[in-house]
Parts: sequence; C-alpha cells; structure tokens
Amino acid sequence: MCDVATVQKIAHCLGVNPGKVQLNEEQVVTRISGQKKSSVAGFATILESLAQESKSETAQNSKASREVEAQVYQWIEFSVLYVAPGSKDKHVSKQLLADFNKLFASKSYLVGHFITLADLAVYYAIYDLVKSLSPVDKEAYLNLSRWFDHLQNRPDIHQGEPLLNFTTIYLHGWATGTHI
Amino acid sequence: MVEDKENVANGEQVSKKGAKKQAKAAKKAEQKAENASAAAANNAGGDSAEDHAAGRYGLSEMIQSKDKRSERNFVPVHELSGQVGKADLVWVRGRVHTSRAKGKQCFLILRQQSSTVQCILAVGDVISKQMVKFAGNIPKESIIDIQAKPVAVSSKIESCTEQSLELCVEQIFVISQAKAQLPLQIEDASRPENADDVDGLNIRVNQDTRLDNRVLDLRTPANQAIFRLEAGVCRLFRDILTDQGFTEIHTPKIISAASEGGANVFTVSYFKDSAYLAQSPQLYKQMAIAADFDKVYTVGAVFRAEDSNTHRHLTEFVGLDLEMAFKYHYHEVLHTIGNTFTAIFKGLRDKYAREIESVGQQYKVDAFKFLEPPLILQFAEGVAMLREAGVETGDEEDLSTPNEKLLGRLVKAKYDTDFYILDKFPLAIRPFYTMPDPNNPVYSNSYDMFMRGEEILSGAQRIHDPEYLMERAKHHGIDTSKIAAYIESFRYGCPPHAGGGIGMERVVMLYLGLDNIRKTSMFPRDPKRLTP
Repeated sequence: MCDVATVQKIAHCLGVNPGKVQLNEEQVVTRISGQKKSSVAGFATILESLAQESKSETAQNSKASREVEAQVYQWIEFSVLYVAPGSKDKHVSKQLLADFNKLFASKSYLVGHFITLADLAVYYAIYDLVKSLSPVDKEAYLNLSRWFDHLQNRPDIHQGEPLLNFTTIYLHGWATGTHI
Repeated sequence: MVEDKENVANGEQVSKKGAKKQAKAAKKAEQKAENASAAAANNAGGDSAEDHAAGRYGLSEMIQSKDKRSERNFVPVHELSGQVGKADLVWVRGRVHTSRAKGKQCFLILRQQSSTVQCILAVGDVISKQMVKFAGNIPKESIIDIQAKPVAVSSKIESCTEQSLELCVEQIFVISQAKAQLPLQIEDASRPENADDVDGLNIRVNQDTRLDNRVLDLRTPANQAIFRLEAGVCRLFRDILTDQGFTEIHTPKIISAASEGGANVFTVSYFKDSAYLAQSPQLYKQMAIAADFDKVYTVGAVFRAEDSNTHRHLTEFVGLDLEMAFKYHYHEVLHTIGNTFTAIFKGLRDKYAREIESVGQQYKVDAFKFLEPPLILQFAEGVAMLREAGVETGDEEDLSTPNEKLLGRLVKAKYDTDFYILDKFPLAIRPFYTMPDPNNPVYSNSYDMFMRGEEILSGAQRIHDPEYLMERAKHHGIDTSKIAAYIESFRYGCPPHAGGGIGMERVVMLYLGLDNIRKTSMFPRDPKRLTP
C-alpha cells in the first residue's frame, strides 16, 4: 500500500500535484516536489505534506483541531502498519473486516463526522480486499460496505475507475433471506 | 484424578469432582428422606382419617377392553367452551401438562394435542385431601381421564389455550402413567427461540435430543401443527391434481439399475443378487405415460445416498412427483405445475391458518408470498440479475447454492414473491433425457422452481423418441446397454410428455420458513441417523 500509485491517487484526491514519487534506495516511498526539490520520505509524512499543500475539504477537515489531527495521524499509521499487510492475510483480513464493521455501526467516518485523510488511507489500504469480497460477504460486513460505497461514490475518490458493486447491501430492506 | 475413579451402581466412572457431586446428592437425598418421614408423620394423622373421595380417583387398571363404558360422554378440549353452562359433568381424556398441589388445592393443566385447559381440585365435599395429594403427584405426560364440570372464569387464564373456562374435577383416574424422569420437558421443547428476551428462560432442547426422543418432541404444539400442515400439503396435492384428471400411481422402490446416476444410490441385497433403492420414480412415471395414463402423479419414498450433512438434505424423503402428456408445447405442463403450486399455497393459507399460527408461536414464520399466475423468468434473465449484483457466473454454469439464494432475494426484492420458476436451463447441466431447446442448442426445455430462494422442483420435457434418446445418451457417455429397458419403453409409440418432482419435507420447511428439514420430517433419516 505504501506504494507510488497510492500516494499519487491520494494526491489527486486532495487536488495537489504529487511531484515525483518513487521508491528510494531503502524501498521507502519518497516524494520530491516543489521548486526547492525538497524530498519527503515515509507514507504518513508524505500525506501530511500533501495535506498542508491542499485546499480540499478533506485536508481542511483533517486539521480541524489538534485532537482530530492526532487521530488522523494514528489512523494513517494504523493503515500502513496493520491494515495494508493484514488485508493480504486470510485470517487477519477477516478480523479486520469484522472490526471495521463493528466500528462503522455507529459512525459514518473514521474521525469525527466528516471525511478526513484517515478515511482515504484506510480506503486505499483495504481496496483490494473489498474488491475480492462476494456479495454475500459484503452483506455480512454491512456497515463497512456502506462506508465504502459512500466513499467510492465521491468523484475525487474513485477518479474515473469503475465502482465496486454494492447493490445487494440495499436488499436488506425488502428481502432478508433465510438460512444464509 | 485418575486414582479416584470408582464404579458407581449405574456403571458411570466418577472422578474426584464427581465424587464430591455424589456426596452432595447423597446429603440432599438424606434430607429429603428426613422431610418425607416428617411429612408422613404429619399426615399419619390425616391418612388414618376417612377418605370420603375413595373410588373417585386412583390408578386405573390397564385398559384391556374389559368395559365399554359407553355412557361416559367424552368431550374434546377445544370444544369445552361450548359446554360451559350446558352439560353438568363431562369426561375428558388428556395428558398431564403440569400439576401443582398446594395445601388444599391442586391446579392441573390438561393437554390434548395443541389445546390446554386448567383443571382444579379443591378439598371439599366431593374431593378429599388424599385425592388432591394424588393429583399433585401424577407424573407429567401421564394420560388421565377426568370427570369435571366446565365453569366460566372471571379473568382470562393466560397460560392455557382455553382461556375462558376451567374444569372443576370430580373424578380423576390415571390411564397410563408416565415415567417420573423425562429425557426432555415438553415445556422446554415448546419454548420459542426469543433471543431478544434476556429475562426469559433460556432452556432449549437441542435438535439431537429432540430427534432421539422424537415421541416426546412430537407432542409440542408446534410439531403437532407442522405435521398436520404436511398432511395438508399431501392432501391438497392429491385433490388438486385429481380434479385436473390425474391418476395416482405407485412405482417400485426396489429397482435393478440406478436411475439418476450411479453415485448416490443405496444397494440392498436381493436374494442371491443385489438391487437398488429408487432415487426417483422418473422412469416409471414415463412408462405410465407410455402406457396411456396421460396424467399421473405419485407420492412415495425417495432414497438418495448423498453424504451431505446440511440443513436441507435427508437420505430418505417423500417425493411428490407428477408427469403429464401434452399436445404441442411443454409449457402446457409448466403452467399446470405452476398453477398447482399456487393452489396449494392458497389452500394452506386458507384452510390451515390455525396450524400456521401455532407454528408461529414457537418459530418465526414469515408469511409466504406468491403471485398469481406464478412468476416465470428465463435462466438467462436470472443470470443477468446476478451479474448486475456483482456475481460472476457463466452462461451455461449451474447456479451454486449461494447464487440460488441471492437470486431468490433479488427476485423477492424486485417482484415481491417467495415462489418463482426459472425456465430454459442450459442443456449442458441437465440429465441426458432432457429435451433440448429447438431454437437454441445452448438451452433445454427444462425448468426449476424455487421457494424462498431454494430449489424445490426440477423438471423438463423428456425425450420421447427412442433414436434421439440413444443419441443424447451416447453424447453424455452413457452405456446404452445399461438403459436398454428404459429406451425400449418408447419404441411402441409414446406421446410427448413433461413433469417434475418435489420434496414434501422441503416444501413444508420453506413454506413456513423453518431453518432445518429435520423439523419437517417426522422420523428423519440422514447419513448420521437411523433411529428412531
């Protein structure tokens, strides 16, 4: 997840020119930008620098207060260290999905009541995992699916890519189904 | 811990913990004996007193058809409310559901299948203290005869089905005494599964215990209702088809060759040879059509040796099968089957409402929705709906169980029906005797019907031309010498025909929305269960 593509996507999201993003000798993602060609290394740090340059809603929300900033940073770290690698493991990913599903039962966004960088980081970290879920699984993690579908419908987030299919999670109102 | 094991009278080996438990139980028994002797001492005074109710209660001698007693007027419990104020004394036979004696009174709840009524014995001119004590000690589930007066009550008795009256007992006899220790309590077995009610009693009887003691389990009101509804399904099936000119036939269950395919068939020894138990009456239904019976149906056992331990598979179940000759298009049969189902659903809804409600007291029953005429979708349409929902499935791929269920929900959401038909299945996934679609070689003239997203009927137009049948058999790699007799039956002129078969237990399970087919099979058979 801490790869070039994700950083570029998030940069687009925030409406910021990513500059030159590559992996350095230690295989850490690095961003070289600006006239001074200053380099920033490390996913979380890069995100912070992008946010500073961004005027988008997401970036502004992420700096709403010191508490919000701290929580956002914690979530970004969490997504890099745990969510991204965990989502590739069969057992950890199940736990992850269950935990997130429980979390989103009473929340619409990860931090506060507005979209922040935290949502972006986690979204991209679990994108591949969610893409691989069957409709039955998506329904099993109803709240997570709802949050994901909500996010992916924002044009700044899906950036022209095809949307993942969540139509069955809305069936709940009409046909609960037995013996599932 | 190993050293402390000892053999006890009933053969159990006991560990240290068990020994402690035993000591506790022994102490309890000791105290009980003490109390009993103290009570006896108290009653000694009472017992020696005259029992003015002698002869009006007690253990009846075993009924060996000695007396006719035709003067006794027995009234069913559910008709008692009509007797209040009319008859003086009535006789009722039923089971002791519960009995509680307290001092000078005994409250006994009498149960007859799904009806319960409160009976009361109070010490007085007619009833003695000894009689009240006797009534309080009758073991649960014993069968008793009581002579009583039905009396209206001022406040409703919530705990019984007969809420407006109670029986004032004058005579009580035990006809058949039950064992004191029951392997399961009917009350526990009838308790609804209420996950929301935290305060409510949480004692459940698990399925294996129920099935091991089926005789007791079947007495619960819900089970009484389920099997009467099942009888209703069979009756409606027979009546509706007979009205349309069908004839009932009976097909053999011991056959010489596996009909549906070798794998899932039971072998039986047949004198010096072996034979098989029929997996379906398919072959014989068709032969009956070739024998000019035109429209036939059969209700009989079907045996499938599938080692599946799921909620919806049994190794032996009852099949309701029908086969019909048609003039020019198999839709004549498809619509007949579809309309038969609609009529069965209507019959159940209208004539068995009481049973459905009874089941609903214990299990959550969602009303069954259906359309008239029934909804018919093409297989290709079903696949399109699944793809729209994000499921990847091939054009000629059979529907997997999860896909079937999802499709059922999509159909329910779109058309608001729990019953629908899928027509024109791909030829590749159907048996060799299925007639291919004349207009499109990918598909066949075959159909499946679904209830609540689960398949209940698989049917098709059968190939009635012997040469074509041989061709299709060869195409499927089937040795035509093994099915020579089958093909032979079409050589003497056979009308075009189609049909289908349903599993009775599955239909009842899905109609009521129950979660396990063992609930709708009286004595279920599965890979792990051969008794009772």
